[in-house]
Amino acid sequence: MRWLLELILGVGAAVTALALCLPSSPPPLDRVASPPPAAPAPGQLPYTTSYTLRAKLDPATHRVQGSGTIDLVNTSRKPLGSLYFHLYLNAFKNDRTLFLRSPFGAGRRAARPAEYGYLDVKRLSARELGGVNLWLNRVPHSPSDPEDETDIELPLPQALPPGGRLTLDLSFEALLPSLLERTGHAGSFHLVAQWFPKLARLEPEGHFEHFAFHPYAEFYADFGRYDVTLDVPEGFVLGATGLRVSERREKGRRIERYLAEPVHDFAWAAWDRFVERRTTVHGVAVRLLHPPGHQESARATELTLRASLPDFSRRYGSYPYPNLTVIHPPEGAESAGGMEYPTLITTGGPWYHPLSGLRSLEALTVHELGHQWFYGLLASNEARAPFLDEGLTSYAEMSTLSNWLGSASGAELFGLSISTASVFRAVASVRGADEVIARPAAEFSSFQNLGALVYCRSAILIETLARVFGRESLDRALLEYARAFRFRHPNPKDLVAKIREHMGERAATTAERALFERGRVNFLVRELQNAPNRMAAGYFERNARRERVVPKLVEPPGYRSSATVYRHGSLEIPVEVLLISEDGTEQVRHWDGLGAFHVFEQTGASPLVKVQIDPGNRVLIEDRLLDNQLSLTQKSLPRVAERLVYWAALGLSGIGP
Amino acid sequence: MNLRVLRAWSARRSPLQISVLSLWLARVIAASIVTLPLARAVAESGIAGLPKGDRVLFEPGGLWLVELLTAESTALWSGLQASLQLGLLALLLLSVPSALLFATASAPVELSDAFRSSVRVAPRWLAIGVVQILSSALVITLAALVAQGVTRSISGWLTEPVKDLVFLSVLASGLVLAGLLAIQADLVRVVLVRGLPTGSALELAYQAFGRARARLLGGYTLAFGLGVLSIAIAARATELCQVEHAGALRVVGVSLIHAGLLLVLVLIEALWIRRLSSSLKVT
Repeated sequence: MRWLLELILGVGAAVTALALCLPSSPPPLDRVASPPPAAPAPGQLPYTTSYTLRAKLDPATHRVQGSGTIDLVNTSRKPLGSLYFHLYLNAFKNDRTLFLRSPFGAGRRAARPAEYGYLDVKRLSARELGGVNLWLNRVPHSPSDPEDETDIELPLPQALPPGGRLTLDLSFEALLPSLLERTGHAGSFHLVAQWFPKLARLEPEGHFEHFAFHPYAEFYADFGRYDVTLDVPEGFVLGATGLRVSERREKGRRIERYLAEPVHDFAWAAWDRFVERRTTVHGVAVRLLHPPGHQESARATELTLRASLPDFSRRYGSYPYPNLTVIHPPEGAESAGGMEYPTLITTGGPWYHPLSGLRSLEALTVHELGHQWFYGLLASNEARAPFLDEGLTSYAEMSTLSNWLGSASGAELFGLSISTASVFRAVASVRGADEVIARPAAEFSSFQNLGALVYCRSAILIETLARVFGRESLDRALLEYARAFRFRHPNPKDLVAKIREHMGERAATTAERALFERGRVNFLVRELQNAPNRMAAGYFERNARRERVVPKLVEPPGYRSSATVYRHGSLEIPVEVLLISEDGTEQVRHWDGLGAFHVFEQTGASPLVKVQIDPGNRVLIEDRLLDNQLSLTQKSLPRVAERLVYWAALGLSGIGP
Repeated sequence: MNLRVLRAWSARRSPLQISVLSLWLARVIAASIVTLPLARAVAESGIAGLPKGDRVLFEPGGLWLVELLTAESTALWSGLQASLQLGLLALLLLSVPSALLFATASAPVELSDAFRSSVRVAPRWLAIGVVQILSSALVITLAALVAQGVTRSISGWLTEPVKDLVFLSVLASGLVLAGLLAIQADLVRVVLVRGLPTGSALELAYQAFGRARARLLGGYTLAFGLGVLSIAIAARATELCQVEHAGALRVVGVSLIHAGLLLVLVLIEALWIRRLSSSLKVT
């Protein structure tokens, strides 16, 4: 039986090896004392739009029958002659919609739905206007696009004056597509988002901010009160925006009522295999709905919420709702993952993720939670200025993950830690100057560019501002921005104004140039010169005589050195420069970053042999870091050489014949 | 060390000890040459000119590592391709010291005879290696396809972890088959270095495998497990050296750990060959 012992020992050794290679778990956190949840501060009262809806899901046909009431108040300064409804689900109606018509595939995943979907309004009437079906008068397609039906104008028979109210009764049917872009079905799993006729945001000056649903864009709407009753088969588990206020079972159906206020959207998920985990984080009741077998993922998600929710509340104002629902979609429904709705977020990833060393689940959770502030509470226009939400959320994600996980915020693999900042920088620098960051989503040349610029470059810009102009002042600026514009739909200028107020003119100018003008920066060193100190030689006219002075070194011997550093691009960012002499003496000098170049001079006993710009890696937004140095000394790579030889030898050992 | 000293030193060593050291040294030298194009690409990136030198590549957070990989991806890819080509050449040349280890570890033999035998069998040695790699790849691919089919058919009613476990189990059967192929190939090698023709070697190896299947599988698993464990321990040990900090001693320490590990791997290989040879009854 020796062979059996050897077999067991061999397997044991391999398993031990595997265990040695596993990454460490994220550090546990001390439980933060849970304060009572803050009362939701109302937004603009009265609300422009409030929804009372009832929805019944048939999971076999993936249809949602909806009905209800929209209470509309003209909170603007002008009479309204038309209403504009977003029927976002019509983006998936056919291949000619604005969303799907690209021959190269739609949206973020460049995919096509296997099954199409739509949103049909069957009837819409206003009680104040006699109850006739107004929907018959609609313009049948989006104003900007005759083949699209996601942005529908409904002319009113009589204008609604400022302060006027309409009670709109409606019934509709939503056919959910196969999962695409965070809505639809995969088997019996349903993520029901953008499923009801939704009024466009009414701007105070009297126009609706409406747009056809573009594959790169997200949403924009007014805050309001949502009272939604959901009706699903009894075996299904529901997760939805808002707080569940009632639940009953009736004739094989589960009927739950949710209230949410003030929010600007309502989404829900239903699946007959969800496993529920409940907890309280920082005073917020959290429901985690995950597939069977994902207990470790749920635990990792909870740990992440414990790290990030208090951090976000401290940095961007308290989370104002009593609850949060987190949906982890099952395998096959990955398209439902990584999305935010008010008080509801979706994450995702395989069950073995916590063992992998990649922090993608943590990053996804932190990112989507961050949206609760920048998308949920500030509610800037995601179609017109997506960076205000995605960029700030990405920065918040990067910053919070860094506070929590340190240098391993992105991944920890084989003893190597990768930070989120390194990854974001790499993505941002590849497409850095391609396009303006602060532009409408639909104007980006590709979603890859939008992703690199809106998500990563925005985050790297803000991190650069923190590192160069002070993290405390940046934190103050963001906190004030988040507080001042909560429920108020800020625009890019509001953000820059807060940066100017708290970080100063140069920081604001840097932000403006980077955001609005494709501003970029690259530092480099080109010249490094040394000359021995010597007396001036030659012929000199002194005391009415011509005197010849021969070349002669001064005592004690020394050197005059100069290094010229250059700045390319329009971002005038102050930077430090490290000068190293042959004897090892180091000097850190400051350059205000103004002008195209700067010459650093020094006189010393030893020649200057190395120069490095930005040794502290503060200017993360820089195009290229590798040209930030110049060295006159012999260069070697002992560590790299050793490691490469080792890996190669290991490879030759493993696959040698 | 001049030639006379080397002769005197080698006279005091057994052929097995010399072949172990030869294979170890050959691998290290070959690896040094193989990595030259890639190392050159890294050197030309400017990393070496930084005041901290190449230790920035090992700093926590990986800022410079990611920068290097993205900003210099084209040059690195070219370097890697050149290195891989050199690696193929190295594999061919390493067949001689590798065969020498098989010759000296499997039976008491004079070093000179073992060397002659190693050179003689080198072409067939390589052919066996190629056949082994191709057949293993085929077996593992088939196992993966079967695993995919099985899991697809049961995906509706199992949880994701169970489904993945089923997938891995089916795949593991392919890996076990690949392991058995490796054992067969090593048996053939042992017979070949004893001077038998290929046909006889295949027959003998097959018979020996049939006689001692369990014993060989146990020995192979142990050798594999110990090898993997050694690599993992070395990886953890190198972390302790913290090469991201300054100091030549840290680099020396890591080099010693890695060199030691490579030697351990050769020793495990030698022990495995001994086990193989004891399973053979070759006249």
